Amino acid sequence: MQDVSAAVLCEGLTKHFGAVRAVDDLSFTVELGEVVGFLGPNGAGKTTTIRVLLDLIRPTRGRVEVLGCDPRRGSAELRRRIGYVAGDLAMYNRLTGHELLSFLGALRGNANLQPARDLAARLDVPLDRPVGTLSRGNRQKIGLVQAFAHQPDLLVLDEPTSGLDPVSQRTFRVLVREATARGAAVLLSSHVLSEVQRVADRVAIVRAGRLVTIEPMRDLEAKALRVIEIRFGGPVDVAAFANVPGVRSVDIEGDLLRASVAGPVDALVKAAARFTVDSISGHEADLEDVFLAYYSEATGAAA
Amino acid sequence: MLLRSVFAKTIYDRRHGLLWWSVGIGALTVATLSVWPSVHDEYQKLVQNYPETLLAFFGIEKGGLGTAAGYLQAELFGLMLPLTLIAYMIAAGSAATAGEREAGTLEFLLSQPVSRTRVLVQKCLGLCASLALITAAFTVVLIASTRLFDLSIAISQLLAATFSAYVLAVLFGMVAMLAGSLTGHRALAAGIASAAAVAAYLLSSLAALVTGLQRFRPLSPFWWYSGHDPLRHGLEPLHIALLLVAVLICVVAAIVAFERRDLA
Repeated sequence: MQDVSAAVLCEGLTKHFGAVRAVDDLSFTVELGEVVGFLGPNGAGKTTTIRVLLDLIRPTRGRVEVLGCDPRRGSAELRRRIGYVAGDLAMYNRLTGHELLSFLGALRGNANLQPARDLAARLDVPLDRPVGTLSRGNRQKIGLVQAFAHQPDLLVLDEPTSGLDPVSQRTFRVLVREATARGAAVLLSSHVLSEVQRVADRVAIVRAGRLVTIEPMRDLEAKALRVIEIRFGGPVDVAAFANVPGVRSVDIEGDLLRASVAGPVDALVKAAARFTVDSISGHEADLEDVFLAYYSEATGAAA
Repeated sequence: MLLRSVFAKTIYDRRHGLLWWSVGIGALTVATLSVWPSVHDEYQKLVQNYPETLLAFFGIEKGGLGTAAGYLQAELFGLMLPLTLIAYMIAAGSAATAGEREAGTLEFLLSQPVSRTRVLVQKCLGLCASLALITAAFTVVLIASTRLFDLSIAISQLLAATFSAYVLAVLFGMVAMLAGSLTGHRALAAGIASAAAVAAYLLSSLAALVTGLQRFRPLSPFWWYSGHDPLRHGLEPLHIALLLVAVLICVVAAIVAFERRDLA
């Protein structure tokens, strides 16, 4: 029996374009009900991998299963259960939103366009104008509407929030949570961490076609450096914080201490408690640093 | 609603083009036939002064000289009509998959629950239907013009020749479709199909002049189209069958190529 809960399974996926290895021995899974962030710099092989899942391109080697099916054999019936937003989204620019959605509905054999219209209203995107005349953000919203409206079991989203305003980005996150709440799986590709940080359960990092790591978001966050600022009642000595566990760097200007901390901040707070503390502020874990560390690590390994 | 399927959308997308190609080909037809009353006395003398090789090149038989059928063959069906219909079909056929790939919309279309074969077949049928509309508009104008300008020719002969031209143009449209599925590039596909059409035309017309080529003439689709002179003798089932078989081969080959290739 195969793993029925895996929405996406790649094992040793390899794709060559001529001499270029776009994807090289990539293995990962996406389980039903989870969001996997798919991170990597431009040209890392994310889009190539995604196109294999949609059967737009065929792998050179490796085993790929989407919702328990080989994408090639599953073909149209399999894609019925997938919602897809392409990275360079090109839709039929001369059709209006209404026309486009009704055409897509016809391809699905689905006459009920109400869910799509409701979703368009939630995202506040006009459907009465040709898609080509819309702003980039509004076109992206139509891409989201056609991907989410039929409640697919798997959502494959290639940089889906590019061009979206903050309000729509929030709506997007709600849509993703609604999808996972009913058991759908989401593969969310991006080259920026902040795009996936708030929604992903796990993160797969790829570079130069290879998987660098795949791990839970909170493990990644635990590795992230946090900047803590503490304002004291009077001047303090930097030596008091030099050997505090977890503190990577510390800097004091008068009565203001600024420290970079990896993991729990407990030791730092206890060290500070010996002095008079006016205020403590912390910045959100900066995963960009972890991310960059992985990239440069991978670069080092490749070099 | 006009967007119920890939087939319907293929026609819908070409609606403006359909109108203009129909108007253009209709105007060409009226212009060509309208001069018949003033030239048909002179026409016989005129063409008799042409070198025989030139007449043969344009597929004009001695027996057809001075008749309405000979005039239509020389001025319309010999080159202008097939050229126009073929040009339309090559443009449409190369845009169908290769053009959509270049525009990026093929990825969007094929990420929907619709199979590649279904997309290709419906696009082929959509193109054939759109060409049928243009050809039908042409036929109406042609029949009306022959009656208006006193060309004495039976409607059945006109239909036979028009139908032959339609099937010929479908063939080169499917060649463009096949080339588009193989290469993925619109301009290249159009170039390949155009080169094939020119080669077929030259083979058929030069074979009339060059004795060495004579035996290869039956290989040219242009020969299947007009070798039996449908304006005078009606349809030749074998030639139509050859055209249809060639169409079928191109479509099947295009499906195989389209199913196999990477599309993004």
